[in-house]
Amino acid sequence: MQAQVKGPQHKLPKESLRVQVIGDVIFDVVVLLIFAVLFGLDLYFDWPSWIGFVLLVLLIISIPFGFIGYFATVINHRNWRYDMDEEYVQLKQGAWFQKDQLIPVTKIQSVETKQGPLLRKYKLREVEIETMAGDYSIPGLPEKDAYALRNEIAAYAKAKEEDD
Amino acid sequence: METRRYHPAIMLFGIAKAIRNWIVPLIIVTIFNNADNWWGTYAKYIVLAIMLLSIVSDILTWFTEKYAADEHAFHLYRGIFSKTSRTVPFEKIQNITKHTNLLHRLLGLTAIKFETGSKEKAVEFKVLTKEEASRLEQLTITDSPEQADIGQRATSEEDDLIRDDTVSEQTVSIAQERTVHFKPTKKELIKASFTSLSFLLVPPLLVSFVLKFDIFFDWSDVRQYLPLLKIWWISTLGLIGIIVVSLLFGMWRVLLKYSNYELASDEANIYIQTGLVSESFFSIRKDRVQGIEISQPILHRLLGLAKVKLISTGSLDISEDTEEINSLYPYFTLKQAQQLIAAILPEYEVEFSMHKLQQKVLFYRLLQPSFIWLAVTITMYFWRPEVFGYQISWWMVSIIALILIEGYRYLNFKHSGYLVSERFLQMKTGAFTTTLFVTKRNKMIEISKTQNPLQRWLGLATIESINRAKPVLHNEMKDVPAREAERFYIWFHQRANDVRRQ
Repeated sequence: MQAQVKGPQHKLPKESLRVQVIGDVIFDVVVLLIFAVLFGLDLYFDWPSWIGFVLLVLLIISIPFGFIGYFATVINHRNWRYDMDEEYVQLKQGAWFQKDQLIPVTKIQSVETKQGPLLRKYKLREVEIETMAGDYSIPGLPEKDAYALRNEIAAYAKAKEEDD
Repeated sequence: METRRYHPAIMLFGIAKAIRNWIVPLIIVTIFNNADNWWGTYAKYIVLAIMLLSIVSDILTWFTEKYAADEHAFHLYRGIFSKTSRTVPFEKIQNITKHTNLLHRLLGLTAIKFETGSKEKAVEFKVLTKEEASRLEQLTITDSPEQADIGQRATSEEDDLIRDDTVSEQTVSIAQERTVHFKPTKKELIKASFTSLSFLLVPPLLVSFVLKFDIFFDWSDVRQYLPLLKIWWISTLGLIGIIVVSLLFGMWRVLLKYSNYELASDEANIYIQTGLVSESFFSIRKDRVQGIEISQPILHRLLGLAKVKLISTGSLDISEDTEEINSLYPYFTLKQAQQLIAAILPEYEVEFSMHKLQQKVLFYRLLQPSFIWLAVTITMYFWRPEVFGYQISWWMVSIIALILIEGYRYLNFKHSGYLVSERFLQMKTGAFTTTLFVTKRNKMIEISKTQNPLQRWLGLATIESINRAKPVLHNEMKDVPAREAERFYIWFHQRANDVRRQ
C-alpha cells in the first residue's frame, strides 16, 4: 500500500501545440465569420434593433473568451501527460483543474489512430482509446510514436480478465 | 445444432402491442375529433395504417429471423436478401431476466432476456414456451466453467479442459440446492404497504382524474352538492372513504409486486422473483455482481429500513412494463439487509463505520456560491410575483432559499462517508436519500482523481469510480483529503492482486 505510483511522464510534442493553436484560430475565424454574416443580415433585412444590440454584446463577450481559449490551450498542452505500462494507461490533464485517470489495459476495447489535414501537415497522429467506460484521446503524437503506442496498447490489451 | 424459428405467437403479441400502443390515439381521432379539415377526415386512416404497418413488420420479422443455440453460444440469423448472423458466446452473459405478463400466462408462454454487456444488444426472446426458456437457461448456466470454484482457479489449459467437464456436472447438481433467503410474510407485506407511501398517490390521482373527465359532467351541476360537505358526518365519511381507498390501493400495489417475492441463491447464482399477475425472474451469477447500492430515502431512514440494489452490467427491464427487479426487497431493516448481503454475497463485506469528511469541508461547501440561490434571488428581485394578493418580499424568498440550500449541503456533508479497505471501495452520499455504494477493486473498470484550485489549497481532492452497468456507472466522492485520494490511486494501481487473468 505504501508503494508509490510513478505518475505519467510523457509530454505532448511542440508541434501538437501548434496544431491546436491553429485549430483555435480557425475556430475563431469561423465564429467571426458567423458574426459577420449575422451583422450583414441584420443590416440587409433591417431586423429589430435589439437583435443588433444582442449580437454586439455577444461579440464583445466572445473576444475575451477567445483569448482565454488560447491561454487554456497552451496551459493544457503544457500539462498533458500520458503513460502506459503493461497494466495501466495513465492520463493526467490540467493545471488548475487537474484530472488523473487510471485505466487498466484489460478494459481497453480498441485503439485507433486518426489524422486530419492539420495533423498530417505536421506528421502527427491522434491516438484514440476506446474503453468499456468511454473514449479517450491523446491529441497529436509524432506518427512513429503514435503507431508504437497503438501497437503497445494493442499487445497489452490482449490480456483478458475473467469478468470481461 | 438445430436452427429454429421464434415462437409464432410472437405475431399475436405484435398485434396486441400495436393495439395497446395505438388504441388511445385511435379513439381520440375517431370519437373526439371534430376538426373539419383534411386532418379530421384522414387522421383515423393514418393511425390505422400505422397500426397495420407495425403488425405487418412484426409478421415479416418472424419470417426472416431464426436462432440456434449450441453448447457454447447463441447464433442469431436475420434477413432475406442480405443475411446477417450474430454469435453470442454464453460466457458473455451477465444476467438473465424472465418475464411473464398476463398474455404470456394465458397462453402458457414466457419471455427471456440474456444481458450481455454495457454496449452490446441483449439476446432477447420476447415469446417462447416455458420449456424452451428453461432449456436455453440451462444451456447458458451449465456452460460457465468458473461457476463453482470462484476462489481457486487453475490456469493451465489442460486443467481448464478437465475442469470444464467435471464442473458442468457439479453445477447441475448445485443448481438444485437453492436456499430461499427471504419471502415476505403477511405482516411484512402490510408493513411494506404503509412504508411504500404509494397510497399517498391516490388523492392527487383522484383530483387529476376528476379534472380530466369534466367533459362528462358540468361543474355547475356539481356546485349545488357542495354545501353537503358542511355536514360533518358526510365530510367525515367521505374522508374515511378516501383514506380507505388509498390504503387499499397502496396495499394492492405492494401485493402486486411483492406478495410472490422470493430471494434465493445457490453456490453460484442469485435468484429474485417478483410479481403476482405478471411475474418476473432475475438471475445473476454472484461473480457478475458489479457492486451493491444501499439507499435510504427519508422515511426509510426514520424507520430504519433500507433498499438494496445489485449493480449488474446488463440493463434490467425486460419489457417496458416491468420495474427494475435487481433491487432486493426494498423494506428490509438495515440489519436484515446486512445479514442478507452476507448470506447471498459472502464475498462482499459492507462496513457501516466509514471515514467522515474533515470539518473544513463543511465550511468549504457552505461558503461556495450557489448558482441556484443567485438565480432565485435575481428572478425574485425583478419579478416580484403576487400570491393570493400578497406581494412576496424578494429578500424573504432569498433567505429561505439560502437556508434550504445550506441545509441541504449540511445534510449531505453529515451523511457523506468513504472507506477504501483492502478489497472494497465504499462511498456514501446524499442529503435526503442517502446512497451507500460498495464495489470491489477488481470490479471497477476505471478510476480518476480530480482537484480544483480551491481543493488544492485546502488539501482536498475528488475521487471517482467507474463500474460496468448499462449505462456505465459513475460514482464520485467529493472533497476527501488529498492524501487519501493519492492512496486510492495507488490502491487501484495494485488491483492486479485480486484480478484473475484468463
